[in-house]
Amino acid sequence: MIKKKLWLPTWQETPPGVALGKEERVGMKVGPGSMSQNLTGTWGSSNPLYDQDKCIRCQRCWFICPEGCIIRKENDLMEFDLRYCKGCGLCAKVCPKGVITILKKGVRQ
Amino acid sequence: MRSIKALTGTHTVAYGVKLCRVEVILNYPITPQTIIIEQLADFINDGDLDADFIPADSEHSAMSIAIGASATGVRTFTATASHGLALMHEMLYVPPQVRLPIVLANVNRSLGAASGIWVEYNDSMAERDSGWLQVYVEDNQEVLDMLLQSYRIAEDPRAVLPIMICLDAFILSHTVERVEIPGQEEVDNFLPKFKPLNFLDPKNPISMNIAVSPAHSMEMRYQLDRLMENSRQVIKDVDKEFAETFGRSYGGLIDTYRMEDAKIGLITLGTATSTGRMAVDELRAEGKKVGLIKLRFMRPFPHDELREATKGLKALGVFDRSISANRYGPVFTEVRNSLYGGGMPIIDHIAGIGGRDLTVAALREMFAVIEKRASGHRTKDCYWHGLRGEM
Repeated sequence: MIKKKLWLPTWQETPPGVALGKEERVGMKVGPGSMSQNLTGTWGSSNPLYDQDKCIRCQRCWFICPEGCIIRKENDLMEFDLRYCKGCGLCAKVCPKGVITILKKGVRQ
Repeated sequence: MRSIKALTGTHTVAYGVKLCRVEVILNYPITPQTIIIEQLADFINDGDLDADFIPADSEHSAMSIAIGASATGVRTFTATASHGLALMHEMLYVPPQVRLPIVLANVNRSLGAASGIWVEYNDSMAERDSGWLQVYVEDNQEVLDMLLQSYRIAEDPRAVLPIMICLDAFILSHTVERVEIPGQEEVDNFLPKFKPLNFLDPKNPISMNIAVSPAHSMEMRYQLDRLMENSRQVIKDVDKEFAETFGRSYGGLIDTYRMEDAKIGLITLGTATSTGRMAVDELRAEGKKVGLIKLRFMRPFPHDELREATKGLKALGVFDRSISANRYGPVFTEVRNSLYGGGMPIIDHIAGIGGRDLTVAALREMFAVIEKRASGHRTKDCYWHGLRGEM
């Protein structure tokens, strides 16, 4: 049985506009700021591999990434932040030059 | 430096927004509000106002974006009317609970199948339960003055609630009046830069507008109820400070006219108050002890102030420019609820529906009914004035 310690503030203790306490449930952080600790990239089974040299800097992958994992650098090349990447493959799909490859995790390149 | 301008109500709103140094403006056009945002677009284009001007694809989106903008900690404004406000309904419930001090100018206009583009209060009266503060204004000077006050009231740390300024369609929105515009420096002193209570910041993560379990929502709602109560004092204090700075006072939650020794009284709101003052003056000249109460705020509702102001009255009338189908108008039911137990007869007077002309004669007719009741005769509880056909 999972024991939960419920956060039950009085109306005076309830923070303005926020009624979600910082908790942990089944090993997952819950509440404000929890997503900075729950690194959901671990859920995925694959990761993108980016070939910077062939990139034409069109920004399509940056625009489409649903998790905001692709960071646009000053020189318009990309940097991949894999902490939240689930390997969905959208970036590889929209890339007109095929510079992004989706690889199974643990597969040696 | 102060200046005098001849402005319509809609342009007055735009001047007020400019003076308040609003940072984000959400817009979706609807008659009779459109000219507000047109004028604001002009201000921004001419470099007179430094604000983000975001056209939304509906009023629902306009309010949604306003919530997002305000949640980042910037001063946010939007304006709408009737069907636009109705479309915002869902999102209107977010800012009060999340404590976002958005200001919304609502140009009151009728709603539904009997609707036109003229004044009626059914649009904003339907949002009484949303948690927004609501003020009804009488003239264009009050439109400007309430805009300047609205951000002070909304952003006050004792409450931090959004506020809706309700002005009559056409009677104010499209009528040119003399308006005194204060200098920018004066306004900056009265209204300092916005210090948000709550805003989205990755360094200090909070959750806004989330689904809340039954274990938490009651406390949040009670908190909102108490905040609305706190705002009563905020409104009075801001009015006092405004009077000291700009020389005009509106009395806070309610204002009274010739009520000192009055035996019969009438409660009005919006532009009907000006007509009511004329009727009171005429009746006073005839030796009748009549007075007028101007209801300014519907939320927070002036429970205590009304009890105090109606002391000594033999009968009271309530003017309603909207109906809650089946007998009474919303202002009447609120007033009667507030004064319950006092034993004083209270009569509802529905008039000016759909923008029908409201004359001094109609106001005198209301006073005549209240007087009849005060002298012990039987009357109905609700009258429609200016209605064709037997009632």
